[in-house]
Amino acid sequence: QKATKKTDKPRPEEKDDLDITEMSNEDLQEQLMKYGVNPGPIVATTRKLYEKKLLKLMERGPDLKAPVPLPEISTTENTRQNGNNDSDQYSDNEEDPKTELRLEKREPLKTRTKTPVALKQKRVVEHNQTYSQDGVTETVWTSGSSKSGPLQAFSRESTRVSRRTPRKRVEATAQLPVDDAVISESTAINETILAASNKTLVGNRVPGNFKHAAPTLSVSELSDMPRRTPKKPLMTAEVLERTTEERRVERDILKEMFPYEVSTPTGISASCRRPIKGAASRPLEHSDFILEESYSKYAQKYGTSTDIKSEKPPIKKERPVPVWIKVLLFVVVSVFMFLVYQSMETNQGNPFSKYLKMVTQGSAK
Amino acid sequence: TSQKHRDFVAEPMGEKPVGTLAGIGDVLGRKLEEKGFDKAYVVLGQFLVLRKDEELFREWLKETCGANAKQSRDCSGCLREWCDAFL
Repeated sequence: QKATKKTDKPRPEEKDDLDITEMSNEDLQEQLMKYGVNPGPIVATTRKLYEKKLLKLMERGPDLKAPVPLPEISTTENTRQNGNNDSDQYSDNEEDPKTELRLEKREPLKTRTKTPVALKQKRVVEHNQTYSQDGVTETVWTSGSSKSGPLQAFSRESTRVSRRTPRKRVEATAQLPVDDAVISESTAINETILAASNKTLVGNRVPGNFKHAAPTLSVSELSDMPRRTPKKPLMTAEVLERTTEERRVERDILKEMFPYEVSTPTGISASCRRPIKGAASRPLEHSDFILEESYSKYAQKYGTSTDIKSEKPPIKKERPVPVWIKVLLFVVVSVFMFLVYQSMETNQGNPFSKYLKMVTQGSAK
Repeated sequence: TSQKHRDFVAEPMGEKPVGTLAGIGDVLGRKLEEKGFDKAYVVLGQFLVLRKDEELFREWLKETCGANAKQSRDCSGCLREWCDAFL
């Protein structure tokens, strides 16, 4: 077999299109697929890349047309630099499908191993958050209303119990993530979203219980003031209901799932998804769900700042202070300054002329 | 992983500028912005269009803003992890 060197002319045979740059996108795609590469959409930004890739593939071996894994590109570059392009002598051809398969296998495995970890971490984070949250609320309740404290707790228990049936659905969905056999990450996330949204939606649909809990919550609200400033009693009620519910539900799941749980508040892996929607002022995606979810989650996780934030999502979509307000302020201030300037007297002469006169008069005397 | 990487992968990127990507500093960030990639999500778009192929993405990054091997590796790894977490 002839050893092909970079200095050699590229073999014209088996070059289906002589000029790659003139190939259409579809042709380019076809050619790449013949080499076993599954290219993404060939658009303006990707075209050049794929042209280069095809060129490399063609130069490597128009005879091969075997699946070439991606890391091959770097190795071919290295070999070309060395001036040795014995692609035929390399046994890479046989290894190619293996490496490709290995690559592919690694990806799903990676995601799979990450899912339970991510799930666990996520749940741990959520649990920790809810725990810390509800721990505070509980202490506040007991401290704020000493006399009616136990009564409040009981009444809350009753409301919780009474609402148990409509929320059975919520519990069912909340328990689903427990089955972490092989759940893909997306579905897990969707389910938590669903669970969260279900809880909030159910909370909305059961206003009667809120009224019942309202008097009990009013005291807790006052006691909650230092910690967070609830602007809407309904919202906090909704939030508190959800947090207590979630806490109880998750506590059961927790015991099942993590007997050896390490409750570290910062035990977050990179792949953990903290549901901080809107922390970076993200635009709302799922419209209603996200809105309500953002209310509950904000109040749950953060203090006053995000409560205020969640209060005005339409306004504070992108920046904390809208630009137009700044501009308006600037215009107002500038107009004011201008008016002040205008209203000032115009002193034509030397402002110190009076004093000079005095001095000259004094010296003259 | 650097602190920048961890910060980026910890939450949805939202409207974060392109300079928050791991491996992308001031100089590269400016170059990317000149080409129209002013937000991290635009670069993410390019990554996704290349089917999350890190190799191709690294090449693209090198071509577009002159990133070296380490910078492009950091960036592609960062985006890949973000996708694993949130996509």
